[in-house]
This record gives sequence, C-alpha cells and structure tokens, in this order.
Amino acid sequence: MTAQPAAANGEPLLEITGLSVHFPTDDGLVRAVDSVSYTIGEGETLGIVGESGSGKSVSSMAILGLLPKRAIITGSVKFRGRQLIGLPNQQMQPIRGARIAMIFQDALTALNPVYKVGDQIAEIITAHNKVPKAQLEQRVIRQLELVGIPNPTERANQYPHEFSGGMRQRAMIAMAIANEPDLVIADEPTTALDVTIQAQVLEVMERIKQRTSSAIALITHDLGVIAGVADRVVVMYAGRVVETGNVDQLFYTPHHPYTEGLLASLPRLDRRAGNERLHRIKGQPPSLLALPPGCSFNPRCPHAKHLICDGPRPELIPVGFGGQQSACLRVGEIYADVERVG
Amino acid sequence: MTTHDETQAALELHDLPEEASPLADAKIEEIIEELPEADEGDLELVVGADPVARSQFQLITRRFFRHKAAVVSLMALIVIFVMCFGAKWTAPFPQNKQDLLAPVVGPSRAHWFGVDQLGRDYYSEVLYAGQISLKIGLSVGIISTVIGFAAGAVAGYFGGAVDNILMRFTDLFLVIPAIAVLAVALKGFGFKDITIILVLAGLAWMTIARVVRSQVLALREKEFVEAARASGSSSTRIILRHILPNMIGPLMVMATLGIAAAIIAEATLSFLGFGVQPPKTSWGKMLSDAEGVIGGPQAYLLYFPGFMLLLVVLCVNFVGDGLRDAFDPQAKH
Amino acid sequence: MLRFIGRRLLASIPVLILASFIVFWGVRVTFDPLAKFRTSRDAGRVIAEKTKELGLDRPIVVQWWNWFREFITGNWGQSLTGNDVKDMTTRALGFTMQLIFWGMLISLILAIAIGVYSAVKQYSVFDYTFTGLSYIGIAMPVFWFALLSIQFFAVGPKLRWDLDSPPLYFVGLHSTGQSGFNMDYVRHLALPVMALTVQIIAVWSRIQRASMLDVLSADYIRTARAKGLGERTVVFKHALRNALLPLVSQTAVDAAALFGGLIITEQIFSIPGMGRMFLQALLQGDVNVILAWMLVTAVFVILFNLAADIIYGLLDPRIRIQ
Repeated sequence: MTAQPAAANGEPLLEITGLSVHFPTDDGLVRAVDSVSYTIGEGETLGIVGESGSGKSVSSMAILGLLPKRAIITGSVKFRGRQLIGLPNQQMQPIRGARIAMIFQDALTALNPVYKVGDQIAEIITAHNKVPKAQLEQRVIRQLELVGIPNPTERANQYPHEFSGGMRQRAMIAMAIANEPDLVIADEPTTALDVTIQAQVLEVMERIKQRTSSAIALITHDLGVIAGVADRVVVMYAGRVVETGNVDQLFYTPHHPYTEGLLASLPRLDRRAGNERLHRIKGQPPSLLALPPGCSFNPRCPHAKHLICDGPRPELIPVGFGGQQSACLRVGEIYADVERVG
Repeated sequence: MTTHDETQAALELHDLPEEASPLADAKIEEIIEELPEADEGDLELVVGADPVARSQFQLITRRFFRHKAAVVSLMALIVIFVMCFGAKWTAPFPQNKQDLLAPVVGPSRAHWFGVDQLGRDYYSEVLYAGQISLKIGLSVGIISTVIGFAAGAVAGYFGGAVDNILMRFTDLFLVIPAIAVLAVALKGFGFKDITIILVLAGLAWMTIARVVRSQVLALREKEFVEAARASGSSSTRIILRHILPNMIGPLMVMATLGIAAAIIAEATLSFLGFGVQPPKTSWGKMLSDAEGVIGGPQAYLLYFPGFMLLLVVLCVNFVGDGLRDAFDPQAKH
Repeated sequence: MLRFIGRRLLASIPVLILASFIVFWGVRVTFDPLAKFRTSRDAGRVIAEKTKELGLDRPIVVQWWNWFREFITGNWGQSLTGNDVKDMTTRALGFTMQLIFWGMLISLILAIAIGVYSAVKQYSVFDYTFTGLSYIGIAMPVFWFALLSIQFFAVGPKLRWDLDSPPLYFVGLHSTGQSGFNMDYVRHLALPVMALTVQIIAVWSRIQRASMLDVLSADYIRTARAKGLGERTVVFKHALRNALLPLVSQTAVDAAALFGGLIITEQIFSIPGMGRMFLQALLQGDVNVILAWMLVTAVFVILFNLAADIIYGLLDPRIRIQ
C-alpha cells in the first residue's frame, strides 16, 4: 500500500507500482530495478536519492521508455491513470517532451553539439505544437530568459560548446519546460557542476517550481540538494526503495539504517572539527547479479539480525501516520518511536 | 564490481566494439569483466605500477581464443605457411617443372589447380610463389612496425623539434600515392627480394609512426609515466619498459594490418611489373602472367593466385581483429 | 571561411615545394637521363657534352629549381613521345576526372547508406551480410577484382551466351564513335568504377557503421528521443550529421590512395587517364611526364584534403575558426 499525496481528483500524477528493470547478460540477470513503487503528485517535488547503481536513473528512464531494447521491464507506470509500460514509440512520442520531460546530467553531452542551442529548444516546441516561425523565436528567447541566461538573443544562436557548464544546464532546463510539462524528471542535474554553479542551477529549479505547476522528480545522490528543494523523498538502494517520506521526516526522523548512514556521512560544518572522521557505511553495495537474500542492505547494516534480515524480502510499511514508509524488517525494534501500522 | 558499474555495463551492452566481427561472441562478458574504477570504499592507488601485469597474458590469450574467426584464421594461416615454405615437401611437383607438350587444362585430380601455359603444375607453382609473397609481406610488416614504433615513440615522447620533423616528413609522403612512390623507388633500386622488402618497409613505417606518436602523446601524460620519471628512470627505459608494454595490443594490430597491406602492395607492384621479376615469382606476378587468359578456357589461371591473396589477407585481418579484441575488448576504433 | 581556405593553401605550398624536390631527386636518381647515350660509340665524349648541356653537373637543388621554375610557369617540357607534357596531362586528366567523379559519388552514397542501415539495424541479416562482404572487399586485391569482373561480367557472358558484345565493357570509356552520357557510357563506366570503389566502399561503410553506432549511443540522441522526436528525425537529423564526421576525415586520408588505385584501374581497363599515362611513362623512363604526374597528383590530393576540411567545418561548428 503506498501513501498517496493529495491530488485534485485523488489520482496521483505518476504512479509506479512494482517496476522492475532487468538486463540479461552473460553472467546472469542484472536486476537494476527490483520491484520499485513510488508516486508523484501534481506539482510536488519528489527527491529520489541513492548512490550510483541504486537504480534511480534507470527507473526514471523506464518511465519514458528510454531504455535499450534489451531491457526487460515489468510492472506498472501509470501517468494520469494511463499505463506507460509497453506503450509503442508512436504513442510515447506525444508524451515525451510535452507532458513528461527529462533533464539529463551532463549538458555538454546531452545537447547535440552541431546544432544551435536555440534551434534545439525550438525543436522541442515544434515537435508538439504548430508555432509560426516569428513566434517561435520569441518563445525560445523567453525560455532562455526564464532560466536566467543573459543575452538570450545572442545565446540562442550559439552552440552548446560556447556555453559554460551552468548555462548549458540551464538551457537544458529551459528546453525541458518549454512545453510546460506536467512532470519534469531531473536526472542528477547538478552532479556534473561545480558547487557554486550547483547552487545557481538549483535556484533556477526553485524558480521553476514556483512559477509553474510542474511536478519534479529530482534524482540525485546529494542529500544537500534534496534538503533544499524536495517536498518528499524516496531513498533507493540496490534497485529497491528502502524508505520514503516527506523531507522533514527523512532528515529528522529517518527510519532505515541506510538512510541513517547516508545522513551520517554528510560532512557537517557544525560538528566538532578535528577529531571526527567522516562516517562511512562499511562495505560495498551488492552485485546486482546476486542480491543478498532478504533485505539487500543487511550485509552492511549495523542492526542486521540473522533470520530476520536475511529471510523474507522486505516491503515498504507505513511508519507512523505521516505517510512515511520504511522497508526495514526490524523497524519496530530499532526505532523506538514506531507504532507499527497495518 | 559495484552496482553502478554493472548497471552502466548492462546499459552499454549494445556498445559492442564496432569493428568486432559479428562472428565473435561473448563480448558482453568483457564489459562485465572490466575492473571498476576506484569506488567510495577503500581506495588503493598504487603509484607507478605498470597497468599491464604478467598475469594478463593469460587473460589476453583466453580472450583471443574466444574470437572464433580469429582462431580459425590463425590456423588457416599456419597451414598456408607450412604448405608454402615447406613446398619442397608439400608440393607434388618441383618448382618450374615445365612440360611444354602437356595439355593446358584446368583443375583435375592429377593437377589440383590445373596446368599453366608452360605445362607446370599450377598448384605447385602457387605454393612456391607463396614463399615470396608471404616472406615479403611478413618481413615488411614486422620491420615497418619496429621502425614505426621507434620513430613514433621518440617523436611522441620527446616532442619538440624531433616531433615536428617527423610530422613534416611524413606529411610529404601523404600527398603522393604510395604505389607511385614504390614503383619509382623500386625501378631505381632494383627488384631483389631484399630490396623490395626494404623499400616497402621504407614507406610503411610512416603510417605506423604517426599512429604510435599519437598514442605515445596520450600515454606520456599518464601517472605511471610521471612516477617512473620521478623515480629517475631514463627516457629509453621509460619508453621500453612502461610505454611499449601498454601499446603491445595496438602495435600487434598495426603489425597485422601492415602485413596485410604489404602483401597486397607487393602483389600489385608485381602485377604492374615493378615487383618480383622472373625467374622469381609471387602470386602477384602469376596474376600478371595470367592476364591474357581472361575469357579463355585457361581463365582458371586467374583464380588461384588471387584467391590465395584474398584468403591470406582476410585471415591476417581476422587475426588482427582477434588481437585487438583480446587486448582491449572495449576498444573504440 | 575565405581566410581559412587561403591560410590552408598557403600552408600547403611548402609541402608541395618540398614534395616536388623529393620527387625530383628520386626521379633523377632512378632514371638516368643519359642512359641512351651510354652505349653509343663515342660514349665518353657524348656523355660529357650532354651532361653540360642538360645541366646535370650542377647541384641537385639547382637542377630542381630550374625544372620547378619552368614547371610553375607552365612549361612542362616534352615527353619522350614528342608530345607536350602539359597537353598530354590535360587530356588524360579529363578521363581521370570522370572516374574520380563517379567513383566518389557512388562510394559516398553507398558507403553512407550501407553504414547507416547496418548501424540502425544492427545484428540484422543485412548487417551481417554486409559486414562479411566488407571484410572480403577490404582483403581483396583491387587488380584481381578488376580482372575477375572482366571475366564474369564482360568476356565470360559474351562467350558463354554468344553475345554480340559484352554486357559491360572493359576498354576505355566510350565505344568508337560514341560520346556523351548514354547507355554506352554507363556500360563502359560500370566495371572500372566498380573496381575502383569496391575496396573504398568496404572501408568507408565500416567506418560509417562504427561511427553511427557510436553516435546512436550518445547522450544527445537519448535527449532527442526524450524530446518526443520521431525515430526518423533522431537518426537522420541528429545522428547522421555527427556520424559523418569521421568519414569526412577518412576521405581526406584516402585521397592519395584513390589516385594510386586509378593507376591499376586505368591500366586494366585501358582508360587513357592520368594513371595509365604515369605507368607508361614509368616503363619508358619518360621523366618529364613522371614529374608532371607527381606534381599534379599532389596538388589534387591537397585540394581534396582542403575540401574535406571545409566540409568538416561545415558539419561541425566546434571546429570552425571564427
């Protein structure tokens, strides 16, 4: 049972249920995403957090059908009630870039190097709308202004390599929101940028959030980014969701050892300097070819208990009544404040 | 392997090396096998260690043998080599045994490749001619690779004037067709076997040198070279003990391509009359002799030497493919 | 753009000059201009006389300069056949240009088409078939292919089915009395162009395929799809332009080889072009013709390279010099 954030007609904007993405390889089946469920409500900003390989990017690409043909995708992804899994390209195309748009990590490689930035933005507009040429130019410039790019008229006629990293990322954002999509999926939009530029880009995203009614799925490994921008958070590990909740719940009252580990390993300036070493979670994430039985985190978990944690596969269960959920099999024992529900 | 790399690898599965022969299988395993980059856990950075360790040899050999076409080609080449160089024992007839009264007929049980205009057993002639073609091809390939590596490595490593000279010099020979240069040079220097080899190698090293140079330029900046330099190794030592081993793969591939190119070059030159001269013969020369029989009943004289050329070059290319995949399964050409 | 062209041309001049010197030196060393006098009765005196007359006692650089100076002013000397070298060359160039034009056109079209299709439909029967054919095409000696093509497409069928004329011709570019672009012309062009291009298409299609595969897995292609663009647009607008770049570079590299290949093709198909002219000059030691051929070819190769650079710059804005 997944908690549903309030929506106009009670239906979440995006509802992912039991999504699995497997890749067959010579060494076996790589379970990149293993029965993942989460929802995104209208206008809400969902942060999807996890380390590299947790499946966060793959699950989001599955939404738009951008995975290679080899991938075995099962489960359900409902966008406004409409099943997206298995939809043929012809029917996905009107949705991509128009109703659901995506922002990719490295804008330098994500933009076509041989075409002008303005043309590439114009392209996403004309792919879904009939816009007369005169108006088109204006719209492109307006988009660039929206994301805070100075001299937009000049910039529109330039090529991606002529932009700085932060500006390129902003251009990508401009492109993604050009058709005012209902959902914007941002896949690690700040990861490839310097910290100062990160802040600028996040600022742009804040601005977008306020101006438009788009929902945002913000995928990142950086908890700091989540803290600033997200309403709710999904924590993923080894292809599974281990915890979800709103941003305050997750940061102040995490209910999963992995989440705790992530939070603890954040370098904090307000801690005692000098003596404290950076906390880290011992061990390595498991091989997606051979996940450990039961809870995938159990080999590294300080609270792991034999027979409980390596037995049944954990499901997300509600923790408290605030919509927070945890997939920790020992959640009741570890977290004293938990009243097991359901 | 970290999960990230696995997913990455799984996503990139369709990224198979483009030049890979479709006959090769199990490339996916190479990608999975790739060592992960240093991850968040414990990092161990061994400074100055040569990335190419001895135990890799077995890995490379194993990968080569997985390339079916390469293995078959290698065996075919060995057979051809033995047959040709051992022609004294393998050929049914001695070389140049003419029988002017014999009927000039096509393949038969007595004469597998038929009989040529001078009454010689064509099959035997092809085997003997193969000695020259193969000898020249192999020698040129090896010599040009050695010289090419030396020149390219020096130019790439030391840079500056030496590099400039090399590049300008090889530039000159890029604007003039190789065949023309070779033909003129051979006309000038003569057509002895050794001359042909030296002249062909004298031109072939240039392409190799250029490629080696660009690779060395890249390798020069790597940490293990810096470390070796910091620990006081001489330049020669660095080049030979650090750079060379890291280029073995591409070098061997270049060598095979060089052999293939040399075989075709010699054949073409001999065909035009600027290569092997009588009484010696090579496959190219045999084709030149046979040019007149097109359309006639003796057209078969054209098939066999040409087919041998095609076969040998094809096999050499496959072996080159296999080597490239063996040394670097992720190579983007 | 004009400045770019100008600069490149200027940079090629030293290359040309140096190349011409090396060529001149090589030819002078290889072909003894006094060969025919060495066996004459009065050899000693005649040789001494001729040496002075032809300036063969001056340093090689001087000799070269004298020749070069004449050459660039349009005096290319006389051939051993008595003809003016410049006239010979111009006439031969006409034929060669036709082969080059058709050869390049067909090579590019086929190589790109095969490469792109093989990449888009990777692992299909088409892909495997053409990969196999490419391997054979790369390994096949061009002259042998030419001979076989004559055997199987011209002389063979003619004899076998007792035809009046071979279905495809293999001598020259026109039958006697014919001219212009007609069926006769095409039948003459078919085999030589095929021989000239088979290896080139094999190599270029592989490059195109590899490049296309590379590009199709690039991030910006994923972005294009994420924008909701149709697959056709993704492939032909976004992927192809990027994928053409390596091929354009390769054509520059292969320009010289193309001229080399012409030598064989023109010889076998008896086309009176530059290649054949060169070969005959080589056999006869016709020094002036050899030198002219070398220089004209070098100029063409340089022009080819320049064209390739320009096209590359047109395709890839990152390279353009502002």
